[in-house]
Amino acid sequence: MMDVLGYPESGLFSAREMKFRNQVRDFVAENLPGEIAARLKCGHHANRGEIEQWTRILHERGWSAYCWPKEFGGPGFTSVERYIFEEECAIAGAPELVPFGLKMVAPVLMKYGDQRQRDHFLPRIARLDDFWCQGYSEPGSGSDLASLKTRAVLKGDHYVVDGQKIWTTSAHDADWIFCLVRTSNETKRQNGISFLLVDLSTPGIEIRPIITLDGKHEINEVWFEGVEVPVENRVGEEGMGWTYAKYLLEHERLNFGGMGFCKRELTRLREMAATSLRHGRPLLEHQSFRQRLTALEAELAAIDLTNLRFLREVEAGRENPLQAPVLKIISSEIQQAISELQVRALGSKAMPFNPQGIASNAGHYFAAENYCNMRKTTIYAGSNEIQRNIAAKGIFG
Amino acid sequence: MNSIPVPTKTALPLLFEPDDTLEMLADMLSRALAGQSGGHWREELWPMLAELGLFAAVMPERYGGYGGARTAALVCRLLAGSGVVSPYAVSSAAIAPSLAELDQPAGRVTALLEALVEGRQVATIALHEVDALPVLRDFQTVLSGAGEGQWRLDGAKRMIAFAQEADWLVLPARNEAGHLVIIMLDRASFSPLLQPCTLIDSMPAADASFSGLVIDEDAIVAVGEQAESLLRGIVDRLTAAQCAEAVGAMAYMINATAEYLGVRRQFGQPLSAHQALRHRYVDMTIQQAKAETMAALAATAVDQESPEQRDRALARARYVIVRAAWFVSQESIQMHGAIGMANETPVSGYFKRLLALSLWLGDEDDALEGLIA
Repeated sequence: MMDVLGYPESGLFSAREMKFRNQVRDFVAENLPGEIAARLKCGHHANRGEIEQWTRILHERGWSAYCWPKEFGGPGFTSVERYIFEEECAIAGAPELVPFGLKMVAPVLMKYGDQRQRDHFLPRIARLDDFWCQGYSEPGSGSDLASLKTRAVLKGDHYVVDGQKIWTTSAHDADWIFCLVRTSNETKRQNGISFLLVDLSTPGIEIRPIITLDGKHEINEVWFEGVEVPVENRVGEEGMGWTYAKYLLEHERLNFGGMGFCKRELTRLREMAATSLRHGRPLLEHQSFRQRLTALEAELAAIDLTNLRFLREVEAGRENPLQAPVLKIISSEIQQAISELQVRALGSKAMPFNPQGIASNAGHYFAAENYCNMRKTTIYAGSNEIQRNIAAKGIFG
Repeated sequence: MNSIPVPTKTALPLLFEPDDTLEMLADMLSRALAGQSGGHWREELWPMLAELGLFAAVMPERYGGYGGARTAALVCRLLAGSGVVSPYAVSSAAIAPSLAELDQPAGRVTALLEALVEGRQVATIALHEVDALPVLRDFQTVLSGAGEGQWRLDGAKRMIAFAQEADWLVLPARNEAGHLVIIMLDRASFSPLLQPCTLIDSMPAADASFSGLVIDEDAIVAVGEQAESLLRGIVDRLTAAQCAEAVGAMAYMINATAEYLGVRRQFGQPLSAHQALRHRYVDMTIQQAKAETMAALAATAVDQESPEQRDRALARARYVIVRAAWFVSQESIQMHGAIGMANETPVSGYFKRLLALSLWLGDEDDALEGLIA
């Protein structure tokens, strides 16, 4: 099968990696439920049931925790294999696995958690027995995360948590939330922050939906009022949460790529352009559009291969402070660029918003809805402004 | 050598020259809109616009009009800047003054014009078929003879703005000879055929399928060249009106962004103290300045007699304004950060309004192709 971007057949991946790719591709082709792939390729977001179903299928094969080392129950893929795995799954129309458990809290537990926490939580994350979400941002603390105010006061064998988290993705689907909370007031704001694991069914927690631009419920406010959290659910030492959070953020940024998703969306864009008419002629016959599409493909190839190059460099131990912020910036921007060109390709056909009763590919691609949704990519996970600050700091000090 | 033609009309000041009447109008309307919460077109808005004389103001002088497309642009700009999604652009700015240009208007046109000028009724137009852009020629909707003074209509139209709210539907089609015909249907004949939908910016719209719909002779209001020029009039005026709406929506987003940058504090200072954001904000205002200029040019162009000049001005306006709309709307959300993603934050509504307007106005590439051709 030809690569979505038409890369050279050799020189990019080793024979072992190509074999791995084929293995993943065959497995996904045989095991990914057709209804899920059809819905996602039509532009729908995966729901919790679909994510669970796919996670369990991968779990059977030992691949659900595909980004974990063997010692913690993962398959021990190399970073390039992880990239290939994600790409093959995404292109085929598989749901993204819950990153908050797999890619965020799990690495922190592996590095800073105690044995009991690892033994209890990691297998549950791998099976998606627990669906996790991330409690970082607060109303006054977004990019300036260290100013967070949610308090946790130690009383005997538990903390009492009061405060509010916001923009919490999937909290309404989640069972657990990992939170940064203030356990003491220090002159340096980064000190006095701790990392807590909170069961969302604990009394005193209220989750309120926030409807986003695209009319969907994806993010939430999470309110804590006198919420009791057992002290054994603190990760690492009290007051060291910022260090763990920084480790997590760096981990997350190197995982940001999302190139498989971009390729799936590029394929959808080509479909839209082939069927959309402008002045009675297919859009693909219009030179101006071909030029835009071709430019976008060249950009995506450059970003995708840069992602691959960074992974090779990191594997070879040549990490540098620019890789993570640069990767986050370029991959979030290309996701937006693809969604924008999708809307432009459909023109007025993209205008009906969230029409009811469209289960699979029935001619509505949810392009405008996704364009609205994709605005989040340059805001979340450390806004691109913050990424540029990090990159500049790496260069100028 | 040709001499430069001397303008004969002196009723209106030059473009960009201050105009007391228009300024007074803007003042009155702004005050009337100050308490509005935005959102959908509402029943109470219409009588208010009528009271201000804004339905007559966009008409030729014999209807008590003043300033034509420039007045329409002003009203559209202010309505869109207050978050109002209304049929004023299509009904009053585009259809009414264009119908008023017909030489010997059919009976139902005269009656409709009266109702439109008084703000009693609303008209809309079916411009979209299968194409991704508004269709201006080669319509696939066909009108054919069905015996003695009767006709039948076959085809499908998509995304007719405010179709369910409209009293009249202006419908371009092709006759058997391949000529353009403009048909005007009353509510009773088109409303059962509507399949409603809601557009990106919450605008109500509908698709409609016609399969042998029987039409009386008097529903045909223009044929051939007369139909061409009527359609051109409506489409050009609608373009100018939508340009003005886009400028109004941009103005709102830009003001809201400035306010947010001043209020929101991070790292111990307001966002407006960060140089990177200050520069990006200024870039938004630069786009807005050019868009504002071109919306004014578009409104003036509508009244130009030379089709080439009109086409050029409108295509340039579309190009500049559509680009500005993408830029300003995206930057505004980005500078708001996560709160810009929330549906209940006002800028998010304007973001979608600008997206919809960009799509109504057609792609900037299409505008350029028009200029090259």
